[in-house]
Amino acid sequence: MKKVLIANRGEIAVRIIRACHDLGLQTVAVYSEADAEALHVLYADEAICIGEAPSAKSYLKIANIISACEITGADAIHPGYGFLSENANFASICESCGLNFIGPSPNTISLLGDKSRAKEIAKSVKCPTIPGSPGIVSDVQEGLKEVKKYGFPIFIKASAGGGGKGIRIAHDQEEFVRQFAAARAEAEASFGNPDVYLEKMIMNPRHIEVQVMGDKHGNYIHLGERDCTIQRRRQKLIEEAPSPVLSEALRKKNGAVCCRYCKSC
Amino acid sequence: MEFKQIKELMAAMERAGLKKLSVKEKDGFELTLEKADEVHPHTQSHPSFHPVYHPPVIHMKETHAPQISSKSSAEQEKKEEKVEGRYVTSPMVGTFYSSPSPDDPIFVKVGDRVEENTVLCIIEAMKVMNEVKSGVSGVVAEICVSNGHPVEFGTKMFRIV
Repeated sequence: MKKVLIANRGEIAVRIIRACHDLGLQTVAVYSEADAEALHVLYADEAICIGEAPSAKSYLKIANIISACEITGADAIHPGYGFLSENANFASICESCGLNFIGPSPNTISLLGDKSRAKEIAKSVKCPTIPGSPGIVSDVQEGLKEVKKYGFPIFIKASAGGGGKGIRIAHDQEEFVRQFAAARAEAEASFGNPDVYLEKMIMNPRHIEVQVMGDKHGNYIHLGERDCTIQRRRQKLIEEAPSPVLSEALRKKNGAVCCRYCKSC
Repeated sequence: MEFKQIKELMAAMERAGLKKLSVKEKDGFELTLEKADEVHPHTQSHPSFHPVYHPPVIHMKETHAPQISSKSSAEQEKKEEKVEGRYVTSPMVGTFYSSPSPDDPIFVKVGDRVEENTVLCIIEAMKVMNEVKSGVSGVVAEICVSNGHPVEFGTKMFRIV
C-alpha cells in the first residue's frame, strides 16, 4: 500500500489521514462541492472533487470514488464509518478493480449485515446469543408460536436493520399481531427487506460492544469493550471504555469469544 | 513564505514551548519546524531548529490545465475577471480525451459552432468511455483541459460563447 484514498469526510477522514501520514502513506481526500474548504481536504496530500453537495451525488457515488483512485494512482481505499463502509457491493467493486479495501471482506460485510444470519453463525461457534427465533419469522402465526417459548415482552427486529432502527416491542398477543405487520412494512420501506426475527426483551440491559481487528493473515485481536448503555431512542449518546460493570475475567472471556466469532465470518 | 516570517514562526514556537510546528499554505507551500531532542540534561537550554522543507504539494482542485489559446497570460487574467459565455464542466471524475480515439480527429476546436447535443469530448471512468455533450449552443471560445489530463467533478473543460 502506498497511497490511500479516504472515502469519507469530517473527523474520521482527518484521523485516517493523520494515521496514514504517521505510517508514511500518501493520502487522497475526496470532497463534495460543499466541502471544498473542509479540514480533511486541506490536510490530505491530494484532493479530488467527486460531486455535488448531497451525499448520494458525492460520498455515496461509487463510480466517482473509484475513478478518483484511477486518476490519482491510489492503491487502497479506507471507507471510514457510515457512507460506504458497510456496503458489501462497494467492497466487492474495490476488489475487482484491484484496490485494497481497508475493512472486512465483502462476504463478511453482507453476512454480518443480516442480523438473523449473524445470530446463526454465533450459535455455530458457541457464542452466547439472546434467546429468540432461530431465524426469520415469515408470518404472524409462526411468530405467535415462537413467542410462547420466550414470553413477553418481545422485540420484533428487522434483519437488515441497524443503528437502533427497525425495532418494535410487543407486550401481549394482541399487540404482537399489530406490531408484526407494521414491523415488516417499516423494514421494507427503510431497508428494502421486510424480514424480521424475534428476540426476548432484556429489561435494563447493559449494552456492551467489543471492537475486533483482523488482518488478511488470519490474526485477530480485540481492542477492549465500550459500554454504550447511555442511549436515547436506542441511539448511543456516549461510549464508556472500559465498562464499569465488567470484571477482568468477563472482559477476557468476552474478548476471546468475539475474536472467535469474527474469525469464523 | 519569506525568511522573515519563518524566523517569526520560530520565535513564536519558542515562546509557546512547542516542539513541532507544521504550516501548509493554500498555494501548496509546506514547512515543518522541529526542535532537536536534548541529549544531555546539563547542556544549554537553547534549542536548535531544523527547518524541514517539503516541496509544494499540488491539490488537484488547484491545478489549472494549460489552456489551448494563443492569447498572452496577462490578457487571460484580465479576461477571467469578465468571462463571457458558459463553461461546460465535467460531470464526473476521470480522464479527458479530445477525440474518439487516438487516431481520430478531435471532436471540436476553438471557433467551432456547437449545438446542445454536440459531443465535445470523452471522459474515461472505470474503463468506460463517456461522451459529454455541450448542453448549450454557441461557439467554442476556449478548451481548458489537455488531452489525456485527469478531470474531477466540476472541472471547467470548454467555454462556449
